[in-house]
Amino acid sequence: MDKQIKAPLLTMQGVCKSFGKLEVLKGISLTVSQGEVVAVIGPSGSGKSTLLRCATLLEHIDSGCIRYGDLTMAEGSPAVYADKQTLQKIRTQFGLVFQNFNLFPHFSVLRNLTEAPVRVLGQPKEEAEVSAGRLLEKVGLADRADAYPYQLSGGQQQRVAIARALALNPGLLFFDEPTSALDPELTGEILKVIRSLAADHMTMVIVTHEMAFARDVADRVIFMDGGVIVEEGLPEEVLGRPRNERTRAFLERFNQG
Amino acid sequence: MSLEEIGKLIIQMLLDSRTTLALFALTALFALPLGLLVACGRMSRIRVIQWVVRAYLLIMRGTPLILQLIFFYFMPSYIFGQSLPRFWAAVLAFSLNYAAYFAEIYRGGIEAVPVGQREAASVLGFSRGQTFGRIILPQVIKHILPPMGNEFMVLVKDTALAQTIGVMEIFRLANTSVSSNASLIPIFVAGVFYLVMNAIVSKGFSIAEKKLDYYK
Amino acid sequence: MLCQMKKIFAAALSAVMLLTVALGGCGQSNADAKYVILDEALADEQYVIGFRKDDLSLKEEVNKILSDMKADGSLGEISTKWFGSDVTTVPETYEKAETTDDSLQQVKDKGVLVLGLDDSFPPMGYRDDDQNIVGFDIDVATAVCERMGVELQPQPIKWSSKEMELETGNVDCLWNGFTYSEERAEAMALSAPYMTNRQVVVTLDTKGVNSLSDLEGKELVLQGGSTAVDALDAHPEVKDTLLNGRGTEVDDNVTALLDLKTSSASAVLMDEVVARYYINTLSAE
Repeated sequence: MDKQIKAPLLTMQGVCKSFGKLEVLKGISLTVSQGEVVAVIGPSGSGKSTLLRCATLLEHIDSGCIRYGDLTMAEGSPAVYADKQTLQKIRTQFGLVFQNFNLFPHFSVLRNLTEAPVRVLGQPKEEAEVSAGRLLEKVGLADRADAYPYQLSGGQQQRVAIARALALNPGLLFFDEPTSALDPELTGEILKVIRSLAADHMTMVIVTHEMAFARDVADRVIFMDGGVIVEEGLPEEVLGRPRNERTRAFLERFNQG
Repeated sequence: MSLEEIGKLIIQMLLDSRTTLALFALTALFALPLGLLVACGRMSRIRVIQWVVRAYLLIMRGTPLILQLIFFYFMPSYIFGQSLPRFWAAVLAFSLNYAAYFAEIYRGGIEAVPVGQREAASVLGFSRGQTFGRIILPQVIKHILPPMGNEFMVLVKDTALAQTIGVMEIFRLANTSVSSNASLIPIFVAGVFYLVMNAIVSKGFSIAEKKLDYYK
Repeated sequence: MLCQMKKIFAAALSAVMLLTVALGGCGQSNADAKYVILDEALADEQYVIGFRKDDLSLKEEVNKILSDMKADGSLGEISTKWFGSDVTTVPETYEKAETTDDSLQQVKDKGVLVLGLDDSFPPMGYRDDDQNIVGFDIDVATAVCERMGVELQPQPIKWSSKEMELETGNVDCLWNGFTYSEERAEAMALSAPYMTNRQVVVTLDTKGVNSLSDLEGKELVLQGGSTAVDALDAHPEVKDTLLNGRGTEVDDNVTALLDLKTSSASAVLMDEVVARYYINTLSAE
């Protein structure tokens, strides 16, 4: 319980987002505290991915409020975004791991990791390469630093993508269904990396379909459906004894499938 | 034609091929960046820019190049009372025409780069300029090399059209030589010249493609 | 890279050689056939010089100089050099008409007369082996310019754009075996006719064409856009009897003449002066 006392790393309040007439987020409120691992589950089309995309500035929200620590990203109705400098500062506070990895195919593995620290943060190249080497070691790919993404398996590419997101040293890491694009036998290596990050007290928000994994690694599970948060709580509560009918139906369908 | 006459013709053609090569090189020099600009305009979110660019693309690609040459050479004298020098009128017409084709190739190349590349760059904090210059453009170049190679080879051959406005390039030389020698040989000699130039262009592009082969 | 360039160049040279041999061979297979010109001609034409409609003072000056040259024999000399005799039709005296425009003064001020020509029209204006523009018209124009105290600047143009080149001031005159027609007299200021030309029928002695009536049902080739087309149109009694009821148009006269040797075409309709020049050149090969 002491986690909730700490200042929240990410705060979202009443976030709404529509694409044309389609309301995708209907007033989402959510806080993520330092060191917390949050799993977001729900049927496809429930708005999970849009939530991540709004939190990472890939989409602009219509109204509501998003705050990182004491920096406000957007606020109001309609939402007004902070100035460029603030947004750039906020960008360095989070990382995002995509479903499709989105590695830069024309850069080697090492350069995928060093390009942003060098170009965005202005780190010296040598320094960036040393820390990139450490990160590659952490995801078990120290020997593939000179390879190009196409030479790696899907699982290896996703591990590079995680290392790339970590290279900017973010306080918060988002995962957008990090294992859905992978063959089942390759998901294990990704989950292992995420587990080790959790052990290091990395703050993470993970959109996932891996229920067993969510139960295992998450401090908190959020179930979304139809653009709202239907239920949230400890994994064993939400996944084990769901109170809401929709959560129950989803989990049943999921277990059958 | 005697061999001696053919030898003379080849030497003259080598001299005149400087005009052909200059026309080719200057067109590439101007049309490549202009095409990129046009492609950006074509993908612009501002409606007015999009319309203007669409009209430009339609006109440039929808009318014969030979007509554009005549237009850019003769129009200025009706409007300003002064024609551009023949060679530069040709450079202008070729550049504007080829920029239109290049623009569509660029657009295809830019649209072929997955949107995830842009998003990954954005999340990593790259500026728009960095994203375009370091992430998107290098991948675009790889995509567009084959169609660009095509256009460059067409351009080499299209330079022959410049004779329409009196530019002395090698095909014009071949034509006048046909008349004065009453022989078709000069045209075939010119054909070999174009073939050699395009062999070099083709080789250049395959070297470039090989250089970018290090990733997929 | 250098090695590759050498290879490409070697390949190119061998290609040229092969073509030369191949084309030479083609020509020789028909070497015994001779070009002949029928006595009957389709039309008599006048060669004139075209100026902008308002450039009357320039036109009058050129007319006057041509008559002076005819009178002192220098025009006849040039004609003899190109055609073997004096074929020019310029009168020996010329009374200049009153003019008020400054076109002559403008040419004198800039010191050059820009002469627009299709430099593939021998013997009137064409390029010699060293790519100099030469020809009967060029020789005459050079002499005229000398007497005007200006320099001659021959400017090759695309012949199909000649009216625009003249109108936009890119050239000062069209002087290149330019045939008189009423439409042209309407649109431009034309000099006095300086030479007579005929549209003649050229054939091979093996084609069995000895008169215009022999062309019935045969293929007649001519240069598209040339005055030969007008001449043929003016003689429906010939045109209608041709194969398909019309002539076959090709890009230039050389192609037309070579066509005679290699295809089923029976005759070519073209300018007499050009025909005589080509027959000499082709027979000399």
